[in-house]
Amino acid sequence: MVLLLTSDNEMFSVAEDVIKRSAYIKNMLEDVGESDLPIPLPNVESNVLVKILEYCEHYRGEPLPASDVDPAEIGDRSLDIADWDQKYMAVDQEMLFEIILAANYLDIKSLLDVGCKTVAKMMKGKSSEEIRTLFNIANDFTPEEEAQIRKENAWAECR
Amino acid sequence: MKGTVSPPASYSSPMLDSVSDFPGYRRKLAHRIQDLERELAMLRSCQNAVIPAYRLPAKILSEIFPYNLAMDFEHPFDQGLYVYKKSRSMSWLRVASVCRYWREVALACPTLWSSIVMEHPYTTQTMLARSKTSSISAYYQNSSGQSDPDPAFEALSPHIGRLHSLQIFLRRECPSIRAAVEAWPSPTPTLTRLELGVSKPGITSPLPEGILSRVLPSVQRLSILGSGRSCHLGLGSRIYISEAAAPAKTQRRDAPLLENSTTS
Repeated sequence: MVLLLTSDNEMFSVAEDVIKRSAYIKNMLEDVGESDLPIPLPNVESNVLVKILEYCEHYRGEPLPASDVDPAEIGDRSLDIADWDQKYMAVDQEMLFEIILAANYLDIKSLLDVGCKTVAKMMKGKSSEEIRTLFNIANDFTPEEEAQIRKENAWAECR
Repeated sequence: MKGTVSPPASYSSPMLDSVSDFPGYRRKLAHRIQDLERELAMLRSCQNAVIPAYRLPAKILSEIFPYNLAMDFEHPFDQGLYVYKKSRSMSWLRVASVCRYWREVALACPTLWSSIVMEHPYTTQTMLARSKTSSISAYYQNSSGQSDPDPAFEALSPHIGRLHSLQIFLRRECPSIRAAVEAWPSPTPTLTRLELGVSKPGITSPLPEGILSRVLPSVQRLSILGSGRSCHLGLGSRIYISEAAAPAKTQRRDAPLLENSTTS
């Protein structure tokens, strides 16, 4: 078992084969070897780690992705998301972004991909204004910047 | 009554009576308005800084944004580049118009700008510039309203050295394209996919005779679409589309790396 200590001081005891989906933890275990000391996760809160472990548990036993593949070379940008992953990602926005950040920090490539695809799909077919509303983003362009953007988008928007 | 309408008192500056230099006063007001608009924009940036979406760093946003490309493009065929599908909304570029932070990230992400739809010269040039030195795919479709030569297509010529895929769909004759392609440097080693379509029979191919052997030696995938029976595609007598498929053997002599060719 591996001990994990979250940023809000919650301790988790996790099976090694579950948490090894995180390349960060996997490398740490390989570098440090067996230890009774918990691995501190200062960037992950307990409620987020619970979700991350749910993902790792679901994919327990599935082959781990090859570590030497450069994601930029894969070029697979399909927006398909497996059914279970879609349900898993049906969380509020704050949690969604926290999952993505934690997946990035813990280096769980497959989870990071699912998170990125989920956000991309949320934006699908939406205008800039609708994207702002969706993510509660304020339009912080100056009028001059907006004029420049309008010029750039003139072709696309008259379609 | 006409001619006697004046603004309500609330619109008049209390200082107005003392103003002698009206143009100067208006300039001052314009500057002040501009300053306030900038300040407002800055305050909105601060407001954005604390929303959950802004927790995503630029590195992750640059992973997310290119996924939107898949909505308008077919599955990537080579080196992460996309081939244009049907909708011409260029919706994947909307992320660059959401807010200053996202725009900054989008402008620094060459992948977003590497699948170029050459219909508007300004957009074409902007995308070519923002794609920096990365590989590009280009889609060109002319229409009855476009000029010949078309500056959008001409903008592509200096970037031929990094062109991996080219799709040309013609709705009418466009002799300047033929001239532009003829002027391309020879060979074009990066161009691996070429798709040519015409909307009606009788349109001459924009590709000069013997193009495959002269400037396109590395083409691996060639598609000729919608040509009909009588369209002369001008790829040399070897790929003159008059019946069904062009003879594969002769195509390979023209383009030694050609693996896949389709006609319809």
